[in-house]
Amino acid sequence: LLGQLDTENEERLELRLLTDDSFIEEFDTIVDEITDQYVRDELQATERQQVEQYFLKSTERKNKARFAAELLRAADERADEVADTSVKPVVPSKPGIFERLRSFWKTQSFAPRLATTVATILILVGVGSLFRTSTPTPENYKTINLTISASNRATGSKPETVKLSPETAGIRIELNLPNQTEPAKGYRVELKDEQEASRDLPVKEWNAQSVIVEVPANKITRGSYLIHLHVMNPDNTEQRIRGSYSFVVE
Amino acid sequence: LTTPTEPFDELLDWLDGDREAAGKKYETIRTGLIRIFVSHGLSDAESYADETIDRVTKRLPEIRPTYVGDPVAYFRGVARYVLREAIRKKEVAVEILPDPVIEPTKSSDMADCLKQCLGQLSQDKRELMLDYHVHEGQAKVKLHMEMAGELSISKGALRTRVHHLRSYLEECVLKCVAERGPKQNTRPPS
Repeated sequence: LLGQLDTENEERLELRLLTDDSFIEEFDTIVDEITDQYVRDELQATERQQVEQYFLKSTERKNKARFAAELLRAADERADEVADTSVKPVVPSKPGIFERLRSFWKTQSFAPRLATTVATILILVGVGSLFRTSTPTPENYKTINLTISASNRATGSKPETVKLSPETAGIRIELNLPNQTEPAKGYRVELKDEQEASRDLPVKEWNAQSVIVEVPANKITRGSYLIHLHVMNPDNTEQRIRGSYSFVVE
Repeated sequence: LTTPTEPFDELLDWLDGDREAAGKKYETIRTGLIRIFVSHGLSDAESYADETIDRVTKRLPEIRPTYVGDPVAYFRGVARYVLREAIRKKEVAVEILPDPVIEPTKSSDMADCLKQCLGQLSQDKRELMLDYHVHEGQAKVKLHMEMAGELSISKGALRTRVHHLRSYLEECVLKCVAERGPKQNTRPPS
């Protein structure tokens, strides 16, 4: 397919193409896969060059590539629509730790309450002194580098995971811009949690390749998140970049 | 037993004594020839495949009595001649740089035709087709396994099913585009 076979192997391949229907089918499937990889820009530079010089020489293959480009775009658009319209089932929320503590507290008599209060104060003082020695600094931001994907939270690949420890001040998120992104006046970064609640994150810096945002650790909880990136056009209009970035906080 | 009278009948008879089996072999040879010509960069591969079959058919009365071996080897030999001639003709012709693969715009004929042809598929098939092609890289492998699991078929069977659908869709789209006439992608004569 890329013109790399020697004469003997080429002959063997061609004879199979002339005799074996299932081999023709396999051959066609591989042609489709190479075409998709070319259109998706997933090939290495040398492979890409071979594809352009050999594989895509005929009009049939060029048409195939045009068709593939359109098909893949339609597939990505559908994934985007599914991601945008996905409705999460409403699950009754479990009582939080404070609610549970409050209900426990109400059931106790005075003496245990006093003992608990004293113990709590002592624990808080102890924890406070521990934290004084290891206060998170801006350098303690964990950096994750995310690439945009057409997949949604439900069907996508395993997203980037970031583990937060007490020393972690927050997360520094570097969003790689898609290759074809036009020069922009600015960006708006929208963070969506599992309940689809969204909020904007302030943009720290951006350049032609990426947009960087930071989220303090106390402003984010465990769970999976999606980021939608919006481009601010020079005419002050806003346009969402197709696809989303996803990550999980543990 | 009937004696083949037409050249094409004789060709089928040479491929296999059983008429049905011969027809299948003929189709496989023709399809294989098209793949070979396309892979060598020739446009209009179908006409080269037919040219190859015509030449074999014409030579058949002469070669058949003494030919030993699988007929496909002879088809391949003739195809090599046809290929060499075609490449020589191409070299003589004015060198044309290959067209870059242009990503069609949303309003292009290709996009309209794809929408139209996808609309001819059942919802299940349409979603299968689009979902199968959505993911990139390693994530694609995982998704395809999940999809195969949902359909209770093997990953290979899913691949084949999607391939058949894609072939149908591609043929439908390219036919639709051709019916709409010349496109904006056509290179003006230099």
